[in-house]
Formats: sequence, structure tokens, C-alpha cells
Amino acid sequence: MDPIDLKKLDPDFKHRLARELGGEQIKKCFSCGVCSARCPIEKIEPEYNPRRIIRMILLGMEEELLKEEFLWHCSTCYTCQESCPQEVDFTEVIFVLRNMAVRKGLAPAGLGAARNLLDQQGRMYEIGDFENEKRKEMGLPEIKGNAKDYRELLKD
Amino acid sequence: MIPQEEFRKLNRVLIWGKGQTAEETATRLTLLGYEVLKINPDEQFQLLSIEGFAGDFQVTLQQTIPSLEKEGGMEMLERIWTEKFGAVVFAPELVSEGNFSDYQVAPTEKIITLEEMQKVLIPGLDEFHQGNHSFSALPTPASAGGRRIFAALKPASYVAFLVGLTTEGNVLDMAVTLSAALEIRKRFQSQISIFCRQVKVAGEGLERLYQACRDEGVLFFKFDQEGPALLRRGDEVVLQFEDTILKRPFILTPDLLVFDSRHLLSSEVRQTALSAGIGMDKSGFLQSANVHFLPQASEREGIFIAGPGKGPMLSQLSIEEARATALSVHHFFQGLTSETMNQEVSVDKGLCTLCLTCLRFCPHQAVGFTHRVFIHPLACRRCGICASECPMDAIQIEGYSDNEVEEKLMALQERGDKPEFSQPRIVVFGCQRSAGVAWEGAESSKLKAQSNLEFIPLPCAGKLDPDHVLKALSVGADGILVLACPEENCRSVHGNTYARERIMEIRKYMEEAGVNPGRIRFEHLSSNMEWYLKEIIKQFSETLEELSNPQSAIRNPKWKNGPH
Repeated sequence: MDPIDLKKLDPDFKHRLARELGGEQIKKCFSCGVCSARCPIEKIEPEYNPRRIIRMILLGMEEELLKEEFLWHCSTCYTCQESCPQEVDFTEVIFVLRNMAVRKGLAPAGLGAARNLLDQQGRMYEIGDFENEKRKEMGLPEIKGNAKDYRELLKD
Repeated sequence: MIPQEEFRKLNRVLIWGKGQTAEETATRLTLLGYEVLKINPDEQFQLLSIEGFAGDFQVTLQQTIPSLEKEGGMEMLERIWTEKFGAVVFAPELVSEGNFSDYQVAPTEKIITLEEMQKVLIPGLDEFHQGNHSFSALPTPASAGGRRIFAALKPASYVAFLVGLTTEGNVLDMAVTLSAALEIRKRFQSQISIFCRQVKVAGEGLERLYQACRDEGVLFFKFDQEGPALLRRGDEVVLQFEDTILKRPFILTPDLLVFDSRHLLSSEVRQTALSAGIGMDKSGFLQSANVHFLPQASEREGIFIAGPGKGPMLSQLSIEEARATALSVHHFFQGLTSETMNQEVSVDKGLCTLCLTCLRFCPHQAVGFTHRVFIHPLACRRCGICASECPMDAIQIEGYSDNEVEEKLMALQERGDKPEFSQPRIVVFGCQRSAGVAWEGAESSKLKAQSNLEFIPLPCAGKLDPDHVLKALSVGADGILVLACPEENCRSVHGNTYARERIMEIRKYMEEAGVNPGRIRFEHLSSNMEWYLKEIIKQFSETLEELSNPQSAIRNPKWKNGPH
């Protein structure tokens, strides 16, 4: 592996991230690794490692980090955030990183499809006649596709 | 008995040192009513020797001063004189030198020491030491070195600090590094990386300073062993290293590289310590690595050690050291009463042949002689090493004399004939400071009540006497267990080592007498290791039973017809 030149990384990355909502505490991290030790995702997918993600942020490895697919593996269980002794809100940091990735157009393809469904249907799953008939049998009211409210929300 | 007038109670204290620890100790002692002489260890003054004993030291000093100019230089005037002091305080400062050889680089425009940086950036060093870790207003650097540093610190430059990578590292260097890093960051918006093994922040306000550095975006790279490799590329130095968290290789070409310095005792102080019988630790700083001397005591009663001579420290701590030392000295003088001078150690004039074995073995330099040997009751710490070494048994310690120990052993012989003895009889010789406490503690488990065990306390394992061991075997002991303090933890410095060496000697005697040397066992034991004491006794009993069993495989045929 070729060595990474520290001078070619972006030292401002951590400061920018700290200015976003949820990223304020990032520089408090002293790399104890409790987040990684307790992360249920890390156990299945070692690529996703909160401690290493924080280190990449602090060293300014923005370009590489935002491209990584593993940013989208987090299940937002908040275990890392609850166990952090330095009160680094890491789950919030993941949201900040995802927002940054989306702004750069680096979101995974599946995410675009999900967004379109929301835009058109107002929910992730399509509601058709089959579902409404089932609901009628159970005495529940019919649902009509109405994405108006969601469109309002998704407006940039 | 030594006549009372031989102990001169001198309310005079010599402080051998300079800097704030020496000054603060001197001030405090003067306020407490002592006559204080403070001498700087330097080229002009040298301390040649400290003779005599606690409360009455004869210190020989040398002063060298230039006087008349003559051909080929100055004529030096030399004066050597001896003064009397009741106590001596070592309070030297350390000398610092660039650590370039350890890092294998040469100083250049872009490579400086932490000392240089400190001089330029932290002009009010005293204020800095007193807990104010921020810098005074940015000075226009007057010195060439200062201008050089400022030239390298153009905006957005990269600065790297290498601290505590070739040595253990210390709080003082870390405090200076963190302060300098923070200030450079604030003033020059430089990108700062600190390379170290440990971020040492055990000092007031340092954790806060460390947090402030991280908030400012200072990067910390920690290493377990080897720090970054330094590669030369033209007139630049490239740092090559692996980040311990990402496990990936990195390089950095800093615009300014700052190294920590090496802190050492001056050769004058080192020599004085050696000649005075004061030990040093593995890092070459004052005070032997022995918990029993903490905080300020030394091998010799009446000689105290204070301040940064024990290793680099923040000045807050060295001031506290000075105050504590003044109190220790005061306490020591308060203890100089006729009561403490009561003889607990006696030398039989008729037996002593002035062979001076005791003088050579005493770790506390408490033995003196005129027309006969005497043991100074103030300097003596009653370890009994001299009593065991004395070839004439002329030295006896109250409570541990040959007669007293033998009486205990004879009592064992009387009990030995009773038929209830089925288990092996073990005589345990143990240091009363460690094994004695463990033995008391083990009482709850009825260990003490076991009639086959006899504990004979020693003032220190160094008091173990081969005569007593052989006596114990002759009166019916099946085994001898000797318990000493852990290594490097003996209050009398070498007492535990002496005990171990004597056991080797005793084993030879045992072999000659036809006793299996396996019947003596040596163990290190701390006062809180009752569980281990029980375990040792259990194991040892089993070994002894094996040895006494004629069918036993481990029984050496050589001993078959022996007395056991």
C-alpha cells in the first residue's frame, strides 16, 4: 500500500464536520474504541469500524471516506453513542457523513430509488387493491396514494 | 555504649542544589529555625564527601576560583574545607541537551529542540511553571534562533513534535509541547502533529490543555515502540510511519521539526551521589528505585533528596517536594532525642576484632570505628545484616539476638518429642515487615495454631544466620522456609539478596552434614500474600513428606543412611 501524504489530506474536514448539526463533539474522541467494540454491525461487517471512521475524519481523509459504501451499513442502533465516554455522538456523525456524501452526489444507487418511491407514493411500499381489500376485511379504512405531504418535505 | 557527647545535635542543614526546589527548601527550613547553607553544584563548588552519621555529618567541600591572570590563562585558587551539618538535602536541577543523536539527525534550519522552542515562545518560564500555560504577548523574537523559528512558521505550515519516543518521556516535556502546539496553532494556523508513546498529562491543567489541543485540531500519533522513521530528502526530512489505528502507512514532510531534549543529572551531582552512597534509578536520576525511600529518603538517614533530580517534574510538584522535604528534615531533627539514641544494637568489645566486615556490608553507612567498632543508633535502620555477617557474632540486636533465637529453637525441640507430630516440622524464618504481617494475617486460617510450624521473625531477611538454620535442623526441624521481601523492594536495599546468597552457602553446609538441601526453601513474599504463604507451606510439607519417605523416588540414595 502506498503511503498517504498527510499534507495532501484536508485538515479542515474535521472542523467542517464539527460545524454540522450532530458533529460538534467529533474532536473530543481519544480513540478508546468502545464504539467499535460494542457495534453490532462491526461484528458482521468488519469494514464498518466507528473508531477507524473517526480517525479518518480527524486525519482529513474526506475524499476516501465519503465514497465508502460502509457509511450506509450503520443500522442507527445508537449503541456507540450511548457507550462513548467522551460524548461523541457517533450515530449523528454517521448522519452528517451521509448528508455530506449525498450533497456530493455519492449516495448509493438504491437510495435514489427509495427516494423516488417516497416522492410518488408517500411510502416505501406501494399500496394496491390487494392491500386495501385486506384492510377492508379487518375493518380498516382504505389508503389512497397521496404523496403531497411528502413532496412538500422532500422539496429542497 | 557510645557516650552521649559523641552525638552532636547540629541544627545546621546543607542544601546541595539550585533552582526553586533548593530555594524553597532553604526558605522553609530557615523559617523553622535551622541554620541553612545552600550551595550550587557547579564548576566553582564541589562536594567531595559526606562522612559521619545522621545528625553529625562532616561534609568536605571544594571551591575553585580564578584569581590572578598569568601566562596561558588564569591561576586557579583552590580551597578545601570541612563543615559539620546535622542533615543534607540533595536538590539539584537537571541539565538538558539536544537529543539529536538518539533520533540520528543533525540540527538544521528546520530541526530544533523543544528547549529552543520553549525559550522563544515561552519567555516567562516561571509563570508557565506556576500553572499558567498560556503565553505572554507575542514577542518579536530578538534571537537568531527565534527569527528562524518564526520564519519556518509561515501560515498553514506543518509542524511535527517528536516527544518521549526514545526515552520514557515525562510530564514536563509534554506540558511544554502541548502549550507550544496550541500557541503555534492559534497564531500561525499551522497544522500540528505530535508523535509520542504516551500523552503524559498527570499535572494540574494538563488534561484541559490536551483537550484544547484536540479541539484546535492538533493530531496525536501514538506508538507502542518505534516512532516514525526519519528519511532525508534533500534538505527536507520525511517522517514515515504507520498510524496505529488505521494500520496504514503515512508520510509527512514538516516545515518545522521539534525534538524533545534529554534531561540528565550533571556529572558533579552524579559523582557526589556516588561518593556519598546515594543510589540512582535505572534512568540515571537520583534516589534508588525502592518504594521504602519514597518520597524523600535515601539509603542514609539524614540525607534527603528533593525535586527534579529525581526526574523531570513540573515546578508545582517541585515546590510541593521542597515543602515536604523541609518537614521531613524537621521531623528528623525532632526525632533526635535521647530516647532514639537508646542502644538496641550492641557490639561486644571483647569479641570484636576490628575486621570491619560490618562496615563493608552496612547498606546505610551506619558503622563507624575509632579504637573499636560502633554502630550509630541514628543512622542504623536495624536490619541486622551486620549481625549475621559478623564472623565473631560480636554484634547483637535486641529482640533478635543469638540467645533469643536459640531459646525459641530449643522450645521447639521440647515440643518435638510429643507424639502428635505427624506432619513435617517446619521452621519459618521471615522478614517481620513482609512475612511477619502475612503470618499474622494467616492466623484466621489457623495456620499459626498448627503445632508443626514455628515462625521466627527477623528484622530483615538479611538477618538470616546460617548458624540458626543449622541449629533448627539439629533440634528436629524437617524443613526450613526462608521468606524475604520481593526483589528491589527491601528496606535495607540488599537484605533479600543477602538472604538468598546465604541459602546457597547453607545448602553446601547441609550437603556436607548429610542433609538433603531440598529441606531448605527460599521465597519472596509480600505482606498481603497470605494465600501464597499457605500454598508454599502446603507444597513444602508435601516435598518434605516425600523426602522422609524411604520408598520415595525423589529421595536421593546418597541420603539413605543420613540422619533424616
